[in-house]
Amino acid sequence: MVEYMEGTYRSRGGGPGEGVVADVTWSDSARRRERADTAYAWERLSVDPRFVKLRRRFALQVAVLVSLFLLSYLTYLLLSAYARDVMSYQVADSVNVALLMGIGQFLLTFVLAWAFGRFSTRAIDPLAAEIRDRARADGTLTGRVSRR
Amino acid sequence: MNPTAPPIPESLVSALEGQFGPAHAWTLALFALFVLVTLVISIRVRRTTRGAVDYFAGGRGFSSTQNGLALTGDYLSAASFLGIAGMIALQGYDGFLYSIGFLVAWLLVLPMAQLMRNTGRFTMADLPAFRMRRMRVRLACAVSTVTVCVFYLVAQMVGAGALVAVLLGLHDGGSFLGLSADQARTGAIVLVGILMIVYVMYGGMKAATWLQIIKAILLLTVTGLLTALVLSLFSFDPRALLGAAADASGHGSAFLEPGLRLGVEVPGDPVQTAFNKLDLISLGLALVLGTVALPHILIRFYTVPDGRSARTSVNRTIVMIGAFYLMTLALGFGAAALVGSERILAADASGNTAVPLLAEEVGRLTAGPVGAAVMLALVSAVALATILAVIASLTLASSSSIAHDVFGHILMWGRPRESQEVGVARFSACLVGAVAIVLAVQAQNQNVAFLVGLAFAIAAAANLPVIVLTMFWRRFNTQGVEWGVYGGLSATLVLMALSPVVSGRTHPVTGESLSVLPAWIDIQVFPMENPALVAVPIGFACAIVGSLLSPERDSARFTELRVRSLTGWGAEQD
Repeated sequence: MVEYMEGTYRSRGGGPGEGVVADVTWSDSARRRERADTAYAWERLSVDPRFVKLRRRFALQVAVLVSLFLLSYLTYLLLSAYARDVMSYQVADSVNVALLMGIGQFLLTFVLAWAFGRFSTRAIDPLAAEIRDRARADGTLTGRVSRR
Repeated sequence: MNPTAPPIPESLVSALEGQFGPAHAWTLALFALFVLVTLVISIRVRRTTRGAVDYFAGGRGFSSTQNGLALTGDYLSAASFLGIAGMIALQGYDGFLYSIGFLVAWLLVLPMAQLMRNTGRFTMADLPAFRMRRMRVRLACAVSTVTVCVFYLVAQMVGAGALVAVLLGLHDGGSFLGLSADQARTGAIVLVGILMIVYVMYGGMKAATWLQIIKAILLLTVTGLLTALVLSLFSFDPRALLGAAADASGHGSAFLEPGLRLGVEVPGDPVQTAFNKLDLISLGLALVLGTVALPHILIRFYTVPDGRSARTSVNRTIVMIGAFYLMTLALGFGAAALVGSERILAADASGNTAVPLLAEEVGRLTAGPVGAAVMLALVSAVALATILAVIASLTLASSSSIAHDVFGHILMWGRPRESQEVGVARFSACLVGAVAIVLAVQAQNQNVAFLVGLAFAIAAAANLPVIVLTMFWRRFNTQGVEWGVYGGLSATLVLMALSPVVSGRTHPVTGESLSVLPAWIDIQVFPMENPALVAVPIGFACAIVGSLLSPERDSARFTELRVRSLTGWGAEQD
């Protein structure tokens, strides 16, 4: 458990007044080097082929979800606003198109949510876990959030 | 009307339309029981609430089912339970449009949930603060969080006051224990406000989560029971229910089609018709885009152990919310068919009492006067519990933001002690609660239904650009966050102030004002009631222009944020 993520990185130990000026400059440059190392490690991780694959898959998944969602919802909204004749067409005595489309929005939401969850569990989570394991083995990245 | 129903004796017309009776006593007793049980749970979880992670994020130990229930509880406010069903009962199909918007919005929450969980800690501001200059973005995010929460809070609390007045039979000059309607309303607002402060101050996120879980279970059970009873009266044939509702409404088949309330076609006025239709689209967008960025929903994702559980909890939420909104359809049309619009309108012009009236009617038709009293008491107690739980979460969201963002990272330069931060959170819960109580008491005679829509619109215009651009745009920077938040926020507020909601709408016959301001003030310029269609693009444009005008960029931090958000690396360590 990180004691307190933001802020632990710099002060906590030596309060103001402790240490000499030379010491401060040294720790400054050391800190800068450490930061550069961390940034390099993150950069390397981000061009790792597995991460690129993960990113592509996630982007594809989100793009499919959002475009299907926008398509169906905007169609529904626009029809409700501008195509009242279509919406009021009665399918079976008191059941009209508007009601069926509304229920259809519900069903589509359930199906999309289920599909998103399933795809994530199968194609995203294992890949993410693999990358995490690799990063843990690497050791440069502590998982802490460092602050400038 | 059900043809087999016995004629109703005059003395039993409705507990809602008469004086204080046994049903009211039962309502209060059941609500008191709910408060008692949740308070006992708060006291129990208080023992395990030690540090900031426990107080702000419930120790990150809730399971996805628990969090799914809590999200359901958070999201289904009284506006959903009473408001939507009432709208369906009075205006038919158009109420259902709200249900659809409120539900499909969760498809956008779905991909954001795990990204939020993997990168944030306690508040929305953690996200941009990860890759930008902390203090300025935290201040901006805190401003928008608190604004959204306070508007939402005031709307809910005024609703609680109105509901109590109606439930106690005080709306037409009755009295309860010597209190007049106004005094009872004020009393209810203050009482509910104090209860919410107690939950949040004492138990933090753990207490709020258990409060939501219990409330969600109660709400779903009671709604399910009521739906089953309504459908049983129509021998489980939805077509019979729809037909009866359309007949009883007096609108005929138009009752089952869009257009009675939203996107109204004004004959002979094509301009107004066009604006009304744009208004409908604007409302649809506000509902969908606002949900993703509601602060009290966002902080729920921090209460689960990892990104995967955050995503799963959203899936659970979608199932429960979807089931709930399908049931409101039966409740709304049931109320239109069984209670009738005259009685609903007589009890409360906005239709908020349609569900309690329906519960009473259904109870009477199935089990006589005793059934009526029991059902009314059940539904009313659940409605009160709903309001209480939602406002507790809103208070928690805003006090977290004040303590973590403003105090912890601005006043204390990012180095507060945990105990200080939690202490400040408790104090600011008290402060926010007090402000909300005062505002709600002041506004109790106003029609504040628009405040919920305003809260959604601000969330969509001010918070959404920041969240989306932080996650996906490398060039986004501090000035972009500031411009996005302040630009979106002020655009929404200004458009709302210039809209017909605030001024300029008068009753065509009597000349009375239908807006918030009196009739002689007319500053209406903007023709639509829902500003989202204009405000959200303004928010995004401000965020983008602000970023491009500032040279600041930090590619390394963006890379780190992206790796973290997608893989969850580092998120489980805290």
